[in-house]
Amino acid sequence: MEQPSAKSTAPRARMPRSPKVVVGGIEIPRPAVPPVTPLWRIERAVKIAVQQYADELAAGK
Amino acid sequence: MCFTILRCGYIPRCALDFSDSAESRLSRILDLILGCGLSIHDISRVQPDRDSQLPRFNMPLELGADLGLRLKGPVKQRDRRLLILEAEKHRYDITTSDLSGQDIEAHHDSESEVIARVRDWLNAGRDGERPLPGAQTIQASYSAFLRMSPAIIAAEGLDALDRLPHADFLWAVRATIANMEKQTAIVVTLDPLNLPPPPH
Repeated sequence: MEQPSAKSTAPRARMPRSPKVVVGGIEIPRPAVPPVTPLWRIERAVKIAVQQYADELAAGK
Repeated sequence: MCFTILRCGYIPRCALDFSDSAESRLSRILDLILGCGLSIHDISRVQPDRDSQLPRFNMPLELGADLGLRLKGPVKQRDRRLLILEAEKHRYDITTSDLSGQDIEAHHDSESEVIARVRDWLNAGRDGERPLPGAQTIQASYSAFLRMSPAIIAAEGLDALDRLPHADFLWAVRATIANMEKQTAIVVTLDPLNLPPPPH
């Protein structure tokens, strides 16, 4: 009988999910219901839009 | 309303949090109510359905369940705080007169009044804690969010805000609030004495 290697049978240790997520450098609680869209995509979109808006304000638009 | 709740540092939970029908909707709403110490019920939308011309009573039903818990439920549920919102101050006298004696606030279908009523109610329950940002500041943040929303959608090809899944919308709001607080150019405009122009 083939001896399975320890590597293949050992259950993968999962890192516990942090109850908080860092958004914009600020730690906020992980959402109670996970978004359909990946968090990183929403955050990237928000980051771009907020920066754009801040630049417009700074330029006096 | 969700924006105001998030801006005040609370987490809104509502029926839109779930979409599966494996468990009865009312049962899941009751679970949400039991898990939260604060409830807001806006009963202003009890209007006739366009097709059937019959009113929808989901919101008064959920309010009734919540009031039942508060008045006669388990002891730990009797400290619950409820805010009941209506469009007009005494319309409930006609539609739901048994509510007399409860705290009911009118928002007159005005966005700024919804913000003010929700903010003031949340702030009133913060015994000794740091006061929440004022209604004008929250309104300014919301106006800024609405101005940024087309760019948020465009940046990642997301659905329009009114079509975005509720959880995605909440996360977009939270991420926007967190990012805005880092931008001095934006923070300055949130000063109530220096409101940004309204969204297009």
